[in-house]
Amino acid sequence: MIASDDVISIDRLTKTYRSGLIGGRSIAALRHVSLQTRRGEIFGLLGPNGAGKTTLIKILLGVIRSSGGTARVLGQPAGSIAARKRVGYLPESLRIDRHHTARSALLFYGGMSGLSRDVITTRSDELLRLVGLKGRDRESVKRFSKGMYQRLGLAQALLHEPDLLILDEPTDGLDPVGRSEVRRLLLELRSRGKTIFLNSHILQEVELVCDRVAVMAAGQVRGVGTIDELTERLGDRQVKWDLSGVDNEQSLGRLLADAAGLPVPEGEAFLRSAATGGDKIGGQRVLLDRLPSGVVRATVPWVDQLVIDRTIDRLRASGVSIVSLTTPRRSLEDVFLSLVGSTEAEVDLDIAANANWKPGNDAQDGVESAVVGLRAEENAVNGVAR
Amino acid sequence: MIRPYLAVVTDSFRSAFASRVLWVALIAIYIFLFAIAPIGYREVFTTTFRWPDFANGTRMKAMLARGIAELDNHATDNAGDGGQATAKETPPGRIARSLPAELQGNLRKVAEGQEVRIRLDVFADGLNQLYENGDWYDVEVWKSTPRLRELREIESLDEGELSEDLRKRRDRLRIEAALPGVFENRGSRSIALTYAGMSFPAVLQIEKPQFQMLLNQIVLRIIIEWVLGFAMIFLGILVTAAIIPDMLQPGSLHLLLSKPVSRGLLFLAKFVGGCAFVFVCVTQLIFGLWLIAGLRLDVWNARLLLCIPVCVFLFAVFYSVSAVAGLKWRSPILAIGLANLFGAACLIIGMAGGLSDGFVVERDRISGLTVSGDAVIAATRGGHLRRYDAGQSKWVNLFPDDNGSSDRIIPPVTLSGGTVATARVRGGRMNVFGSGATPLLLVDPTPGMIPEPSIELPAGTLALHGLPDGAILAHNSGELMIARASDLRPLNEPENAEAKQDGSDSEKAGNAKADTGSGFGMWLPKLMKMMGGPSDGFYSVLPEGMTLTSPSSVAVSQDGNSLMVLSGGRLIRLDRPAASAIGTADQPRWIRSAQAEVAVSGRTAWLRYIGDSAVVLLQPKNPPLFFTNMLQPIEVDAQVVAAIGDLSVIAALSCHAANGLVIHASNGQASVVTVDGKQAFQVQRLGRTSSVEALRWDNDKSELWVAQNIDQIAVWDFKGVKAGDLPKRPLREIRPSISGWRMVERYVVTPLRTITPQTGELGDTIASIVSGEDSLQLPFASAGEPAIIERYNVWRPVFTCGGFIAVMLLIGCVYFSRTDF
Repeated sequence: MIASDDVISIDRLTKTYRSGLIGGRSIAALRHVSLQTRRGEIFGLLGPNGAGKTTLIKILLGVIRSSGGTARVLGQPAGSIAARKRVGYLPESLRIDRHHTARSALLFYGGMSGLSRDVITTRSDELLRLVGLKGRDRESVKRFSKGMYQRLGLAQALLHEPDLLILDEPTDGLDPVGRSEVRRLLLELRSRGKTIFLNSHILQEVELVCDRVAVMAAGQVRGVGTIDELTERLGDRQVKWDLSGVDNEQSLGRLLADAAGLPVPEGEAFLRSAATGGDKIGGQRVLLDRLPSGVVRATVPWVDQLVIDRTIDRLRASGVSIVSLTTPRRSLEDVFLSLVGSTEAEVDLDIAANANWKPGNDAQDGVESAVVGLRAEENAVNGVAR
Repeated sequence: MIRPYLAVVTDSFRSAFASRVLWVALIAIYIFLFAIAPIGYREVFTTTFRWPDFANGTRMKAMLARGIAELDNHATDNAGDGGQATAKETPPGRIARSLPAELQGNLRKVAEGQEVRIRLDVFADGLNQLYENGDWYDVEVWKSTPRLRELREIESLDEGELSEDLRKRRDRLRIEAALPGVFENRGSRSIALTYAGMSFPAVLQIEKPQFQMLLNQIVLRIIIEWVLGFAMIFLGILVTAAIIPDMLQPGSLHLLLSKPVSRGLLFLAKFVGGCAFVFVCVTQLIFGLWLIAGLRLDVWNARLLLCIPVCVFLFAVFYSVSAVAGLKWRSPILAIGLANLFGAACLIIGMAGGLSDGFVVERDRISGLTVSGDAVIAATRGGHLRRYDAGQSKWVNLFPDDNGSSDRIIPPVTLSGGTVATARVRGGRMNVFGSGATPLLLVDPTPGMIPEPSIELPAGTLALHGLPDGAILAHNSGELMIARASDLRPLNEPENAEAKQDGSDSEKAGNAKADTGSGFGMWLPKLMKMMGGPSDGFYSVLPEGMTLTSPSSVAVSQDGNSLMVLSGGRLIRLDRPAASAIGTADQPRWIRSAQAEVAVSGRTAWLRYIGDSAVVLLQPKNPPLFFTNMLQPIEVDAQVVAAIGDLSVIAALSCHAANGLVIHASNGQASVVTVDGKQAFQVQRLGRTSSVEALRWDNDKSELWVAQNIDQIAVWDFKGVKAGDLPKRPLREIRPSISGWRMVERYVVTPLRTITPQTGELGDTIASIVSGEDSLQLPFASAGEPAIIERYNVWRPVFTCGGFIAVMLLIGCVYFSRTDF
């Protein structure tokens, strides 16, 4: 659903690159991408190389044309001159002609945005101070470091007071202090009501400043939402029980499955040797491992707190001691990798299974689509000692 | 709306100024300007003889040989009488006797009938030695010579008042007076170039206006073409080839494209910005040239500054290729390479076009035309004589061995009996006298139309005029001669059965006489002929002692009983003597009945009848001078004078029956001046004529035949035409079929030249802008042809180059707008 305060609104956007003499070879860079960015938020776009992030940004800026679907920016067709008037853009590898100083570059780019010389001069003073280039604004950019380039790039992007900022790796090349300053700047801009569309590889940075994020892989959006939403809706959250006093693993398995409302299989379905390696997270089943200490570790899919309570009750009733109870939460990197590093089919299945999301499902478009957990820490929840 | 694009253009200027190459180029420009800045000039008297000063070297050789032979002969005779040599001296004789001994020896051999080639520079050196002492001059002997006003003025000064230069000038004028019809018309002042105050050894024997013309039309053009047309453009391409590929760098392009600008206009703005570099360089160079030309050479020609946009335009042609290549392949190296390849392709196509012009088109271009009954006969610049075959609708060569050459065809004229007279001067395009004798050719307008040789033409004949009584008037650089109708018959007719068969036979016959004869008397006729005097069958009509001097022109009245003659600064009317005197043995000369002086400058002038009046048209552009038939000046409406004066005349033709005059201008247009009974003149362009080659007036039918568009003909009916009311379109047109090579030229070369930018021809545009002329006229034209050398293609290169730039930019805009980056 496209809300009225959407700054960016993308609906089933596709882009296919064709190559060869008659365009015989084609590469699908975007496949039915749908997402929205709301006014005043910082929206992060994550994805590995080749995920389609740059293609998406190029379409939003009008650098390339989409093959299908629609994209609107600030209510205007993406790429239109009307839309571009209200967009500030910082490219990933900003290149400013070497004959410029910071001030002459701002004069040029301000002119490109249609600003008068007076306005540019006034705004330049303010922005050069804001980005920390005051005092070096008469120097040739030939002497600028990468970080100074980025700051100058930010200044030019803000020069015409755009409503939407599209920043492609804005902290690339900056030192930690510089990154911190940029983050502060982004938060300040958000407080001024600017909408920021941030493409970054630095997950921590995204986590620190973004209100919502989208993860892209293979030309598709794999997940989108606020970080809290993603955390809460983590579809493959699991509960790990370390139990002692277990005589019969099969009985334990049935107990746990029954308590969680899972189907109870026949035979030796639950036992697994610890030596076999990791299990499959997200499987709708109970897995048991007997540890060398004799403790049995049971991994059970998270359902809700009632199931935890019920399971504790039944375990205690059956004489099993609960050594520990944890809900393992993977790092952002784990989640990111799990979304983009799996085979395409598996990931699609997971997303669909976990969040009832599927491409083209209007009800789940945008913010209501796939949900993943992003917390880096592994938080103990309801840890219970015997 | 335009602010973003202005920002791009402004940024390009900033980028250009930040370029080291620009500063290197600017330093080179200023070194060049400082190097030429000390060039100056000063005016000096024209004294030293040089070989180009001789308009008629053969005549000079003959005159000097005759002079020395007469002296020798007289001395010998007197020696026999006791050695009292009160010689009958002549100015050429005294000059010849003062020349270096070796040259005298050669002249004596000439007088003895030997074929001796004497180079003109040897004559020049010999004459220059006469300045060393004035012994050769004798007041009494020189009394009979035509003395120009300038000479009279100098001679009126005391010897002590004369500077060395003025004394030499006086001596030169005396020599020129002694040898009339020999020298080109030169001004009294020449230009001596100086560098930092020091004179160059050589002196340009041209007057200041010609010097300025030379500077404007040639020197500045060459500098602009070579310095700007090649060096600066190549440099410009080297510098600017990276602009578009640099723009396409991801960090730069995406940022630019994110701005609220149109891609097409962004590309155009980048293109315009790329021209900024060249604009900056060109502006400084041309402005510097303009200042130097003005301050040092007194040529304040503001039109020179118009070359700035033209040069940038020329650069834009190549840069459009570079820009599109850079857009497509994003490689400056490739862009430079393709721009250079394109330049080479343009050069090759231009050269092919030039060869096609020279070897195909130019040879077919009609230079003279006449009609006799239904027959149309034309001479071409390629040395062909052709008749028009109406049945096959094509031109047919009349000479069986005609493969075109350096021969000059004297424009054919129709005699009163219908016979066409012309001549083929062997090698006449290089030397006005040609090689060997030239027989008059008579063409009977029957289907066969075989040119039959007739009597020998006077040496150096430039033009023929048919007279109403069937006689023919021949005009060369020094004489006007008439051959009677009765003498004009083919050699193979019974009356001439024993006569010479052709010119070479004539030569051989003459040589045979020389071998068998002895004494100076035997050689006098031959020397006279060498001097351009009457050949057998012709007699001179100029008054005794009169010789034509350059510029000369002659006009024949409608009844053929009067001639108007322009000779140097004199305008003379000659009347036919009484009928009883015609045909007598002494061939009476025509009688001078009126004379006037006119101020002429330059090499070429035309004297023509217009109604009963006469008009002198001067070249370069000058107001025409109108006279009554008795040479009284006529006041003519200033607008008419200005309109005619604006025409750059290359030919003029009297239309007697229509009381008109047709002027063929260098822009290819024909204009008609008409006069009514109240001597009210009007001038009007003839229809839409634009590529006139030659004109012919048919007085009997009152038809004007206009050869145009190389070898086509339009016939205009002037019957009943009133002054100022010309026909709107021709009566009929002849459009002959063309040869295979002409087909190639028309359907391959010309389209190629039309669709490819003719950058080389932009030199014409520059020359036209600088000079304000539409053609280049030099004083070194082929003998006997109009002095026009080159008609500038001012607009074709502008259109082809402009069209090419537009197409390339359109391709660039579409590609840039539709491509994903």
